[in-house]
Amino acid sequence: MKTFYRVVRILVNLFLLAFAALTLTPMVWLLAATLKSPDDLFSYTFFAPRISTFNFRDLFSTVPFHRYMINSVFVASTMVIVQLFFSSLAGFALAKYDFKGKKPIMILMLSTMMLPSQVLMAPLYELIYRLGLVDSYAGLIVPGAVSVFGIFLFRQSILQVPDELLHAARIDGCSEFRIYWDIVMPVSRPMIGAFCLISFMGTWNSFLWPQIILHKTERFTLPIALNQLVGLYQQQYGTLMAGTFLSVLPVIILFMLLQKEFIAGLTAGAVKG
Amino acid sequence: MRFPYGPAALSMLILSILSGAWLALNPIPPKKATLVMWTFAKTHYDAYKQAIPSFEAKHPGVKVDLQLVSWQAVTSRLQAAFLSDLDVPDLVEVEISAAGSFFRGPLKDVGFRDLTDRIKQSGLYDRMVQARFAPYTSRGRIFGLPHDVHPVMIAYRRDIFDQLGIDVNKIQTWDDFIAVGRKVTIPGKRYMLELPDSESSRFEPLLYQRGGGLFDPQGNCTMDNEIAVQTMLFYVPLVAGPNRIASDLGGGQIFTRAVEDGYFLCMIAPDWRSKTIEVDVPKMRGKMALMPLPAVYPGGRRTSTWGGTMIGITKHCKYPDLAWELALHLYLNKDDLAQRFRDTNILPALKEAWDHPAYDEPRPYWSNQPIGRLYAKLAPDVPFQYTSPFVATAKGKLSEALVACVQYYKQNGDKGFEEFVRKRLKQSADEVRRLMRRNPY
Repeated sequence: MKTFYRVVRILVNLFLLAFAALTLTPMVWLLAATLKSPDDLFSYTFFAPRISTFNFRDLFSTVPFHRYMINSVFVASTMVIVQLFFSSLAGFALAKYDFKGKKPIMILMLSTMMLPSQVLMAPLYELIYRLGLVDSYAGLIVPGAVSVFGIFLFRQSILQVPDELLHAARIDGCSEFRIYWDIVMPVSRPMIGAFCLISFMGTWNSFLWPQIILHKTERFTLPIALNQLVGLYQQQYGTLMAGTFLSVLPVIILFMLLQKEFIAGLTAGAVKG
Repeated sequence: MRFPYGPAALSMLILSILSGAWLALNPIPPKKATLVMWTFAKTHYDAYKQAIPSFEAKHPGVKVDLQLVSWQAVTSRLQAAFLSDLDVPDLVEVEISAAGSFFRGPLKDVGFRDLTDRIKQSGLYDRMVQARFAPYTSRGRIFGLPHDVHPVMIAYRRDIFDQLGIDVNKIQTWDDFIAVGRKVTIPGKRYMLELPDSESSRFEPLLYQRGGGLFDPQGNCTMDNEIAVQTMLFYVPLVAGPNRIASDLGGGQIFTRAVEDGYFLCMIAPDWRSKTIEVDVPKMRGKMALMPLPAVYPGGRRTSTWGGTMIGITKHCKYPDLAWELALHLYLNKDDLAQRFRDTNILPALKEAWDHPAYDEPRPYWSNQPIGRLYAKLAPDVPFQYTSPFVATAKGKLSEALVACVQYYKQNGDKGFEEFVRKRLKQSADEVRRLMRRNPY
């Protein structure tokens, strides 16, 4: 029996290994493409015998890639912080306060998740234009400052926080905001980790709205900047691959560093203790 | 002291502060532009960036804000800008397949300024290739200045042709080409020509070559007329059936390998694509050459056209005279155009610009052929290509018809093929006409 389980385990591992290899193949192809000279780019499926850094040099010499990277980092991280604050605050209110119209508000908010964002783009664009935020970082951050998904996530998470803890804080003279800030948020730490990563990845990859809002190339985020490298009649594939590789790298590094938090956040409440 | 909200929030906060500080220390210099111009091609953007300072020097106090807008976004953004009258640029470069969509509705509602009088009074109508005004003309009024001609030639593997003893000078007509193709094609291993069987991008130049098109000068759909039928009857047996001499594998890596391996011997190559081939298949340097498109009948037209760009001035523009001067500055400077040709292989629409020595320079990639001169010789003969606001729909319907005809031919061969082609093209054209009738304008 023991041998049988061992064989099954080996087979399962082999299957998973093959699946992982399959999943990683495009990434390996991407990495290989970045390290090939234009002459070799399409002549070898994966790595060429000669390693070349031409694509990276070309990328940094033709476009201000570092600026695009910093724009993306700024927009994504600021958006996460802003969303984290407002979404958790709203989640806290919906989880721990009773007020008139709480349920309809919740239903209304959840129903907005069913609307495709494209439907709202025309009126949103006009609003942002009238606010004078077109072609600004604020034009990207303000419309996404509150995430309904985040509110729902934090509401569910904060529901787990015992009311007794909040009552005790009130007896000690804590203000409602301080309860949220010093008691509820530290207790919701696993959810903060998961939300930060989900929100960061969403904003990092956001394409359509930044494409509409941003006009000056100096303000472009990475997806828009990479899209500019896609030509209609001509295509520098190697440069595009180098840019794509560098644009996914920060997300991978961030995920590696924060994966424990992310998994803890996703599994929080999965097992009742 | 430990950050109470975890490393994720802490790292976001640090990243936000550091990147924000960097951006604050490196602000974007404020631009107060007199004219805002959009272009969708990086090559144009780079060239115009160099040309604009001399225009600004000629016009003290004038500032031009040149913006690179992705070609996928330029149409939707410009349509939205016209409809909402928000954030409309002064000048825009528009790709040929999108241009027609901006000419919808009464002439007074077209978002571009009518340039007909300016073009005719300045003599540009005669100085430029006249056929190239057609795609940017609606109801007799011209809304754009053509950037290019895009004559079509055939790029071929010269080294393999030499080995096989093929004399390209003897290929004068498509019948000659097909006869050679049948000899050299080895099904599954080598094809005479790269042609797709599922979309119409290469069918259209062959349709134009015969004098056909998707629309006539009045904007009526003509994709089911006799020329279109004859083109389909000619095209489908090239890509399907037992005597096919053409195949298609798509773009990118697979295209490169196919050319390198000699899977394709010839490709339809407008000027811009000759640069694409240079870039995508660099190892074929010295092994490629260009020849004119075979004629439909002896002595017939040896070229066609594929692709294009126009520059237009929007009605929103407060300084149309200045915008016109900028357009001329970018489109008529011979030295700039010559340099652009060296960078992109794109032949400008201004005929007198072709006298520049750049067009006679031998190109090592193309077996030292002076490709500029080759394209320029054919340029006056490029066919007219008329447009309509429904051009995108028509292209889609034509592709559907092509797929259906290919399927029919694969299953039935010549039996009833002509009748089917007529019926299927009419069906596609009727669908376009139905949509045109529903046009609220």
